[in-house]
Amino acid sequence: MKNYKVVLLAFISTLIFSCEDAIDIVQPGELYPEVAFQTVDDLEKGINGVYGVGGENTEIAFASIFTDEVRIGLANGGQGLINDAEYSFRLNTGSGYAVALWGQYYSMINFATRVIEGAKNVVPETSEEAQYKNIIAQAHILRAYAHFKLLTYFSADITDDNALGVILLDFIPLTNQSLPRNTNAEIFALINSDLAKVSDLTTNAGNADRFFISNDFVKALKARMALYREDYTTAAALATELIAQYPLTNRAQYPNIWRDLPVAAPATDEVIFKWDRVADDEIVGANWASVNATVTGSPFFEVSTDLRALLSTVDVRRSVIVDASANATVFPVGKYPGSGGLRINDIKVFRTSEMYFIRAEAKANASDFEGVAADLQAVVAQRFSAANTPTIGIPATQQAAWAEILKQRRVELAFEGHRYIDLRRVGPKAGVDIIRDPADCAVNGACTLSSSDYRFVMPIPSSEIGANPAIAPQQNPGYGTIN
Amino acid sequence: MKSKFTWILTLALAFFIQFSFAQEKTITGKVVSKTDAMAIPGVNVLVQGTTRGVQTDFNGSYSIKAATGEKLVFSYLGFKSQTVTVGASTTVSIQLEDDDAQMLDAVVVQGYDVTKTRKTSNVSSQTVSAATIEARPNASFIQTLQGQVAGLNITTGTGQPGGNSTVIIRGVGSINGKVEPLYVIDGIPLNSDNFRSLNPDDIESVSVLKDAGATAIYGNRGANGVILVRTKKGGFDSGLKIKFNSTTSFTSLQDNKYNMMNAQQLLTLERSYGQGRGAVGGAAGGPMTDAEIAASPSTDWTDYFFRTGISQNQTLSLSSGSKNLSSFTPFGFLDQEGILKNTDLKRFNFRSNLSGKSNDDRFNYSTNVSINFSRRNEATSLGTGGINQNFVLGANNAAPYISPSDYTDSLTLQSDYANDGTLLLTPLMLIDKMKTFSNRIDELKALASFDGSYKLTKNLTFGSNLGIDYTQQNSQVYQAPTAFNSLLFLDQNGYLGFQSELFQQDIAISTTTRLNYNKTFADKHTINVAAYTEYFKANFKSISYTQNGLDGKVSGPGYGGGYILDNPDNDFFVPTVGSSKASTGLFSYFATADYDFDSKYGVEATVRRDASSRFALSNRWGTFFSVAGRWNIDRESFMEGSVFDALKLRASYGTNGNNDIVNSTYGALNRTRELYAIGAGYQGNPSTVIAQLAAPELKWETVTQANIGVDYELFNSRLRGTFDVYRKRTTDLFLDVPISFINATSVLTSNFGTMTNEGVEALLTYDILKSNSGLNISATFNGAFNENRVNTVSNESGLIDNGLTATAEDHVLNEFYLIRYAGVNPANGNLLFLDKDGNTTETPDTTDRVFTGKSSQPVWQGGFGLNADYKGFFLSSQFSYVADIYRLDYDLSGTRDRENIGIFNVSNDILRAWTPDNRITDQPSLNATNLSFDAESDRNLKDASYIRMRYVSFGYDVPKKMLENTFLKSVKGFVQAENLVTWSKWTGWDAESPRGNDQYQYPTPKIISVGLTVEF
Repeated sequence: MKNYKVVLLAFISTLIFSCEDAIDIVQPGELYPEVAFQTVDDLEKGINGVYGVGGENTEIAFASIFTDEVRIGLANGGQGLINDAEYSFRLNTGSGYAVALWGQYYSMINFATRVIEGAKNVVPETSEEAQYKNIIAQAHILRAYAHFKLLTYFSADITDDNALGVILLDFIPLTNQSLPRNTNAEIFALINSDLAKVSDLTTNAGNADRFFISNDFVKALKARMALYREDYTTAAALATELIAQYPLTNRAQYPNIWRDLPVAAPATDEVIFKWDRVADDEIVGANWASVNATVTGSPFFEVSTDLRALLSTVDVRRSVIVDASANATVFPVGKYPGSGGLRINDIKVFRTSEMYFIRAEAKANASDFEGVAADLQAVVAQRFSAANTPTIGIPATQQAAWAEILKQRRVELAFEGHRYIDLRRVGPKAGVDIIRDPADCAVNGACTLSSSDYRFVMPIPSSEIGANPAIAPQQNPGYGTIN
Repeated sequence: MKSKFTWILTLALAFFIQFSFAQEKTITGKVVSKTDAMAIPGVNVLVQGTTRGVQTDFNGSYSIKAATGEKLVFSYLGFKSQTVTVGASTTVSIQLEDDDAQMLDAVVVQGYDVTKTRKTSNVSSQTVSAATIEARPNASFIQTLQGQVAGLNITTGTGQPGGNSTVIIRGVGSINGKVEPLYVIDGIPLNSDNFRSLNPDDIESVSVLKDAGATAIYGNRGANGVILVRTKKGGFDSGLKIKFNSTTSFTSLQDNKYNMMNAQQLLTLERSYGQGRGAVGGAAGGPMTDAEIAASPSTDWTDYFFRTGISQNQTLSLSSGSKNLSSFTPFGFLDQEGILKNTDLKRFNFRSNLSGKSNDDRFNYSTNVSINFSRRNEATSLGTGGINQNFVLGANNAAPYISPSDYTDSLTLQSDYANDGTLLLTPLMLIDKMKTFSNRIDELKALASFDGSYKLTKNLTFGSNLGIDYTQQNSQVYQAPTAFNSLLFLDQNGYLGFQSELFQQDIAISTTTRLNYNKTFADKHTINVAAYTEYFKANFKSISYTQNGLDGKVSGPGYGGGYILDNPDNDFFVPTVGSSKASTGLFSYFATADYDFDSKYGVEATVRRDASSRFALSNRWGTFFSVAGRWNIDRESFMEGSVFDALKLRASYGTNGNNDIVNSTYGALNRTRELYAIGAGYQGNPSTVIAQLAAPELKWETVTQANIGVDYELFNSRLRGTFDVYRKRTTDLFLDVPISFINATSVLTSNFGTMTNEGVEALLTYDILKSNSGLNISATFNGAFNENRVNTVSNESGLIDNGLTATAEDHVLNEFYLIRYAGVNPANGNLLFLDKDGNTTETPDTTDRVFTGKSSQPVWQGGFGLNADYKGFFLSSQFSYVADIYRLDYDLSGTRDRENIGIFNVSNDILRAWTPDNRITDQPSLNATNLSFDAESDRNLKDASYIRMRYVSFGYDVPKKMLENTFLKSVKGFVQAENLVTWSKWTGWDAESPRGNDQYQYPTPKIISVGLTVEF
């Protein structure tokens, strides 16, 4: 009797575990802010994270489907027509694209700011100082880039310094912070001060590696920014510099750009910057087809009828834009055909041809129509064989000049995410709207959309509005409020 | 995918599903919604039922590496994004027990093994006994419980054998957190809510604890009610008893009313619409002639992909007892075929329940050990638009003029597909998948408990309980290198075929130590006081790998043959590996006191302190309490001679805590801390980014519940029942409060807001005829009404917009929030809608959505039944019903979608489409230009109320007298049917579903079975 009392008590005592064991639990691998950035190597990982947010996939997808680059494809299963219904010109405060862009670029800004702030606690070894400065410079430049991206899509008038821009963020926010939109001028001031860090770039200053921030990235960004702000003098000057440095890739080598193959003469690689894409990264071509870029790749979108009409069969760009497998009825988007045995393509951001167009716009603005034609011709000349090169006529009026530039941009920059912004910027001046081929819009009746429609500025997403009372009264024109 | 909130806050309501090819392989990489090609920022992904919480993606389109492993199994389920509230609603039906004659004498099991009679119970609870659970052809006893308990909603949304059910007691009590009850089996609190591996025949009783008086003793996990399961035991001093149950079942598909076309009808439509084979399949590529159409084969793909499943279920149990030891030892075997081909469940169960005691009865102990192994083949990609993956899509929507004989092999299919290019050959791709793909999951579940007690004095007992819940899942997904899907994606992937395996281990340990004092004074005063400490710790571990690239000649499911090794040219073949680990714990101490006066009045109280590892030090401890009392009115002198045989008034009030911030044992374990994460960044190089913002103030979500109830028996107990009224209020709700995107995420978990569930439950049994030897008939009825209201929510507008639903103050949780559909415009055949001001429009906008007052949680539910027996013959039936419940029927809209003409089958309803000659109709013109608004409108929101004949059984129980001189103790044979008939306005396969919308899902079957029970 006594015996099993003892045994029992001994057994029970083993059952009483300590209280702390159950409630003081730290999960393996928790990484706290104070130890996240302690060395220059940590910062390197941090900047890797900032780059990791980059990529224009959303812009490319949205511009192609919402505007007039695609039509409904052979294997469409509802894409573009239901849910977001962007092919039907639907864009509202709940649209996934607006949320994606707003979220993506604020993440980039936030991550970059955390690297910048984290770097303040890191004391680099002498041997690391250049790398250290280089990282901080990249963080600033990417932050500037993200702010500019946001302005591009969410500011109702980027040319007006007093117009509402986006929320300026150069600090690590508190979760309960509610910030209103700043003016464009305020945002540009931050962008410019961030871009000034370019002088600290060391490792890739000369842009040997087109996958990272360089002096020329900043130059190209400034050129585009100046163009969008209609500061044509600055834009043209920067564009001219870049044109000189990065000659256009010729007709023979042009397809290599899109297959991510080296250009035969590296000096003529016209890609100034592209986001590197490796296995497991997002597949740009998946915006239009489930399986691959060929006619049997289950294309749910194809190249639109009227874009195809602009593409002469002897234009090398046709073979890039429309996949080579195209037959008489199916025209898959071919610009992102995969590379290295995988369905992965780098995302091109700045190319020399855009610089020509930037300069052409500056000339159009100055009514230098011959100059416009000359710049456009320079691009075309590298896309056709000498015998077949068409001649760009000299526009008779400013409107005709804008229209010609817009048309050339449409062809050259197709499926690179430009068309939506270009229609908004240049469309009204050029008298160009979205006019889909009747066959392309029979499916939903969405045939035309004026380029001055309110939907050419993105709405502040309703999820931001719901979370941020300060921004609630600052929605862009045309978008109702939900409640 | 309107916004991230669609993922985070809704019951995973997706929009219309788009068709596309989907690739079945481990999801690694970014979270991009493949269906609409949208990046979704800020999603945290968690693999279903695990914690392999790849708690990744903070910034949206990057850095999610969903853990590798097959259990992703598509898991759209698997998309258990940590914050997805599964709180769907559901239906339940109830049927009163027919086997306990006098309710108030029946046993009531309460927490921690406290057993009372109905008479002396102070709380609202209901017990279902073995007789109702045994020999039913459901793999999980939960499915059988449907229709048994008032106020218990059980909804099964899949026909997968052993598929999980959603169980809600008295309305959804949390928005983000856990909403299902705590399950306790033989004193072991379980981590999971899936019982596919347990044998229902082992169960002695299931008790559902509903009010705070009953659940407070499980205060740290009992906020959503508690379900106590006791398994059978042998008796002391009893001879050997052997019992054998055998049931054979035939499962088949329930019908739908979609009115789909046959090949001739479809080809004729295609010809007139000018699209598809009917338009171009004739001679010389022209329209088919009538004769050609008539000659076309016609395949019913539903018949092809579904089947009549055959199931076997056998249980043999042995029980015996000596003076000091009793044992109960059952063995069970189940082999259940799903109605969808390639799905099944096989299970083996073993259990040993031993009880022992010392000669002087002071020391008592019991051990319950069960080891259960199940193996199942599951369909993948259910509910998705993966035309090459989802068999149900093929069954519902494949074009009937395609014939299974059009399939020869993968290579031929690839070239056929190349020639066609559309999605027309969907059924052939699925046939190929059936032959070349497997997804098998083995589950080992062991439950072991030990309970010992020692009477220190006559009144004072010391006791201890140890419980272990061990679950191990090994799953493997294999796609042959020769499969069509492998060939199709070769260009994209660079490799052919893959295999992934996943090992998951979940171990939960709980111990309780108790001291109990029990004394009766002066014959009338009984007190019972107890003090407890409780420790709970759960540990999770997983390992997985995926090998991409297999050699066709030697590879096969489940072993490592034919792995193609990495080579210098590329990295396709580097296997992906994964590993994860997590743990969580609770510590509590609590006390209860119970007082009874002469079985006439009783009160009891519980108070407890609980700490959870999920919260920061300052908010770690929560205090919960309850008080409950009763008045047995029938024992008052003034009741003498009344029609009441029993009448008892009960009342209770108390609180419970919930620490499961998301609906998963291992989810959201460290939300109080700000964390960075190292993941794959640019160019695949390591990156360090912020991964989680701190919510340091997080604390227990609290449910406060008040309940008043009456238990009664009248007219010699021929009429008996209960009636309860309750109000359940959840405060400090776990909620993803929206924050500005400048934080690189858009939500922060907080305790915010309140929500109320108020309701009434009634339970009634009446013995219509009662005789000792002749005919007995009794009828049962139960009903529950529950009204859910969100009282406060977090953001400025007072509205959390989930896209198709919204949660707002003074509305039902996740109320449908849609554009009102107003019919087809007779003028042009377009759809007409109402804008928010009530004006008709053809082009509404998101801002025209309004609250519909409708939700996918039923307001009314219940059951009724009739039981009769006559000289050994018995007939019992159960009906269940739900009312005031709505769901979006996207299967319906899909079958009427003009976009599908030429590729998929459509409904004959489409023939009613508007034309200039047919202007008054419910189907829009085939050329309507505003169909894009359809998905956001309430056009597809359908009444999902139903009455279902849930169960009917007819059999013969051989009278004991006839067996007197045989070795048999009892013999019973029966035929039974489940889900035989359903009356509903719902046109789809199955009115029952926990989801707010349904498309391409695996419906629950109807089951007919025959069985035999023999005891000797």
